[in-house]
Amino acid sequence: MTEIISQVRTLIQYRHLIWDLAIKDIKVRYRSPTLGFLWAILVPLIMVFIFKFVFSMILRAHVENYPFFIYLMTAIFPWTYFSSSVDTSVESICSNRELIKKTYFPRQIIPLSVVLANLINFLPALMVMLLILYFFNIQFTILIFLLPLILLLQTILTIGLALIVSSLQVVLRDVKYIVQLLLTAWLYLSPGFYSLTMVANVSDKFLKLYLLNPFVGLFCLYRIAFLRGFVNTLPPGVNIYALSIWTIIVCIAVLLIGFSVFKRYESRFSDLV
Amino acid sequence: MQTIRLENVGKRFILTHHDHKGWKDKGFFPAHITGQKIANDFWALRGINMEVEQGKVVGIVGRNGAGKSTLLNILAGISTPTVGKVEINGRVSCLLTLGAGFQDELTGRENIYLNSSILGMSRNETNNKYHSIVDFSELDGFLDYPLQAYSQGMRVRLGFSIAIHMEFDILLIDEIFSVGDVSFQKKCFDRIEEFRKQGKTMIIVTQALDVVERLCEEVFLLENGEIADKGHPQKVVNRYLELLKEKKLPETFQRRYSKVKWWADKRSWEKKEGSKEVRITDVLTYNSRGKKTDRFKTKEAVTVKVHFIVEKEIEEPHFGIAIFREDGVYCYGPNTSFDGQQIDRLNKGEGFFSIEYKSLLLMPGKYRFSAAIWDKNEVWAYDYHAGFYKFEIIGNNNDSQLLNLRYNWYPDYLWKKFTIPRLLGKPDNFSNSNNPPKDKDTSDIEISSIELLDLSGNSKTIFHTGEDLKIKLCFKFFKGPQDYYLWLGLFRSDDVYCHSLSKKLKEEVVYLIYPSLPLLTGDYYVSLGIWQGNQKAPLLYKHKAAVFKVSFFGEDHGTVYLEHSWKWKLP
Repeated sequence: MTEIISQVRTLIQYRHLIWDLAIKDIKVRYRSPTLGFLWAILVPLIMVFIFKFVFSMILRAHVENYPFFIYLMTAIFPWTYFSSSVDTSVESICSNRELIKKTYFPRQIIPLSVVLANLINFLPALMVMLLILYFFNIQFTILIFLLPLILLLQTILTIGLALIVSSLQVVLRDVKYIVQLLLTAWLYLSPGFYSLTMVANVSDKFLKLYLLNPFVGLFCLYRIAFLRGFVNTLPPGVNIYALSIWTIIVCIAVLLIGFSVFKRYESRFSDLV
Repeated sequence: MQTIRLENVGKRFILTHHDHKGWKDKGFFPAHITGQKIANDFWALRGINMEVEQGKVVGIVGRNGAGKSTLLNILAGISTPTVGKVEINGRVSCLLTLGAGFQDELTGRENIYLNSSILGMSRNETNNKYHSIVDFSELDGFLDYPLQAYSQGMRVRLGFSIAIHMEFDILLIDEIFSVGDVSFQKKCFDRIEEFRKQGKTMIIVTQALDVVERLCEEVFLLENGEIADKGHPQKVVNRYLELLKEKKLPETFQRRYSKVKWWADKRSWEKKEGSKEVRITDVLTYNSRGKKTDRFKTKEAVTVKVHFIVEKEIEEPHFGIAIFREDGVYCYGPNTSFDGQQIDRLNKGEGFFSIEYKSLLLMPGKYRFSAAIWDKNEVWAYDYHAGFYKFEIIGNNNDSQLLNLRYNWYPDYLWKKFTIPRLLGKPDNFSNSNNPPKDKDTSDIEISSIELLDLSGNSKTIFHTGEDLKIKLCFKFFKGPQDYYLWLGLFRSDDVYCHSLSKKLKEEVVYLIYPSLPLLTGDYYVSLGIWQGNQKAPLLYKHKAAVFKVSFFGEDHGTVYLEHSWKWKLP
């Protein structure tokens, strides 16, 4: 417990550095491309178009009640935030060799600032998503105010994973590739472009196992926040309250594991990068 | 009160090398994960006990690789000790590497904020000190430009200014006394003096021993990762100097350094000396086609063949050939013992030895060589014909350069070998003139930096013979690119003009690469000049724009290493 308090205290002390590094990341990322910050919106949007093309034109997938495009978007947008955060944080420690070798500050700031940069990157995309939903005549309910909380929950999970993968990458350079594979697998094992009903149709046992994935909960929560009446489309085997609580537990657990893994390897960074 | 306390601190490094073994031999996981026994480890620091009271100024001296930087890194919290206890009371600030974490894409202003927060300053502190930082750096007016536009010197100045404005109790300083120009250096010293008066604790690592004696109250001498001596500055510095005499910097380097010969004793020329147990009877030179001649082309393969008669049986002799320029400059003098070749004995009878130079990297001119057969300790010669034989390298060489070295420009163009006959004011014949041209500046163009880099792009001042030397030249054209010509001369520290090149200067950043630089042990310097159009006098001239040392692993005398092979037929 004292450990957690001291962690929080250092993070508060260094909050400017986290912010500065994140802003630096974004500035560096968008200063040279002609389209600049537009890419933050274009990338997830184009991803959604690709999935839409593949799944609804070729595979003829569809979901009840909502346009497939909307259904996809409510999952793919948050997913790009998550996957790009994890993907860029993997090498964040290794690629900041100079900082690690030559200056001292709490090292967890590096992956944290990467996640923060991706979060800032995600916000305009989120705005665009809300606009598109509005043009599709989706009516927002009071549940939309859950959105910040869900985003926070996802960010907690992301930070936890970012801490784990960035520190493991330093000791084992193969982690990067493993993470890339796992991210792909993870997306396909989450109800992004198919509905939970389809999973429930496989078997009850499989559904139970499937629900352990925190992104099932996260995607459902996002859709509950965005799409009116989404709760009612969930299959009978899924209790949304239990699912939410499970997701919260997993996210916080991953965060704690992240900090402890990071702490374990932190002292070797300067020798190994 | 002790601000710093180290108890039995040690640091072990694991040397990982990337060999081409398959994963099966290596073990799938690196040793530091599996906890396998580690074969290649070494202790950079061992058993360090150190106590520093508040307000003391402490120096750390030691040879390269003695562990000074590792110790500072541990004090700074950058690296953690493998064993031992570190206690530090107070906020630590480092002047270790200035501007670590600078971002090229961001402006100077943005970098000030970023760097200060990396160093642990709060936003408010930075806001309060911003103007003071800018004033100290003397970079007002550049702050809205991205850092890419800064010269190396400007970066360092900015880094130093930020670092020195940190609030701290303990300041760690590593080799920063070479920052910037003289006036900036003075400012830094003044600031350090100020800190001392304020009673701050400082730890200084430097090779500048006068600084140590002047500033420090206590000095630690590190040797092979252990504290070899500590105490009063003068005592420890003297001890360190003794240590240097015994072992010398890179060990091989200094020993050779004192011995290497750069000039021939011309008085001994044209004489034959020796105890005559063996007599040299005939010395012949052959060109690359095997024809007997004493006129060669530059870079030609040349063979020198020495016939001799053994009058009395001798043991372990060795053979030597040395080339000199007519004015006495020692070009190259290897012998079989330096080359590690042993000749057991010479029986009575006739024989010969020969040396083949793969490529004679000498410029056109008149040369001589000596041939000798020495005793095993090179104390006396059986027969020594000093400067007895002459040869000539044909061609024009107006400015008496010595060497014809291989080089590349980058960016490289078709006119790579472009020579500029009009460069009349060019400094030539340095060996004969005692006053090199005066430095000259112009407002049209400025040399913003000159850096000597090794193959991997690290800035260095000591190179090994055979290493690639990369010279990065950055200029600033204030009037845009004009009809400029760049001349670069490479000199030995005794002003022997070794090599020069010139090119049309069209770009602001130019790289000159000497692949596997063949220079032998010694100090060298580079001078730069820029001419415009057909003017006679240089627009800009910088004498000793950069200096560097070369160290050779062998013992050969002279200036340039010439690849060679020995052959002999013994009686």
